[in-house]
Amino acid sequence: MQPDSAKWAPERTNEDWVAALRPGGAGGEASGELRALLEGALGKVLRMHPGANLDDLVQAAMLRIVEKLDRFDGRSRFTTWAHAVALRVAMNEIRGQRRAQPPGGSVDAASDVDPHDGAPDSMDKLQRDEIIEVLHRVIETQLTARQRSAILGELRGRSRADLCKELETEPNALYKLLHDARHKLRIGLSEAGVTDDDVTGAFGF
Amino acid sequence: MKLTPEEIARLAKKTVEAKPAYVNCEDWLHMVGEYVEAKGSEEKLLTERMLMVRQHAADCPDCQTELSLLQDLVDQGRTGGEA
Repeated sequence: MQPDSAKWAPERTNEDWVAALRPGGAGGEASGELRALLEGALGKVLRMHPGANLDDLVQAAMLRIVEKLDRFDGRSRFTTWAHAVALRVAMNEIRGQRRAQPPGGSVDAASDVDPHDGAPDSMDKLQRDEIIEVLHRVIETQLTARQRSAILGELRGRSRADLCKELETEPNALYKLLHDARHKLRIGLSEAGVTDDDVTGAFGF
Repeated sequence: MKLTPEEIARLAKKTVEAKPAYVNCEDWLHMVGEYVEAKGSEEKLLTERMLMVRQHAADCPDCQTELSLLQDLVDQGRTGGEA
């Protein structure tokens, strides 16, 4: 039976939702309400990203939500969290279908090139040079002297104890120093439009 | 400070692997609801957790798409919570 929309989510507390949806809980009505909410939300998503079956997506989302109930920490409304989980299920399905589609006629010959064959090596080299330049620039302009010392010491294989001694700091503070330095490097790469995949591809690890 | 090519490669690897400042996609999923509901509340947005959510979305196109969809649903009151 379709639940009465006037009695939907606002009347249930987060705790009510979780208790009702747990295996063995009095989940029938709550389950029906959540299913109806997800049908509306995922139906909207499918209008923008067609290709998947709504009923299948809703069913998969319901299962995932119940499976992940322990991850809900109550910092948001339960229904917001449940929709985030449902969207992940839906978008994973839609992305999977897109990846599975064979290349169409509009794909040009260049896309047939194996990215690990011949010519792309020069692309990797170019990208590697660009990444090196960005890293050097961030090191020189964004890192503090202590961060530079910590990063360099680590790269040259010096022990944490040795570095702590030189920088007159504690292990936890050294960890934070290195952590903050790497964070700045990541931000610098990101701002330069370099993704993790670019770095991984350019350096081959 | 001038690094050797080997040092740069090691630094690049460590930088990419420097995950602690970033939540992964799975952990992000369970934090994004709080972020979406907090939007508009500057004080809440400034918490470390919320910055992590925002940063992750900026770095991850898939999660960014999911964030936009969730934000739309919440803004339209379609998630069953109070508007």
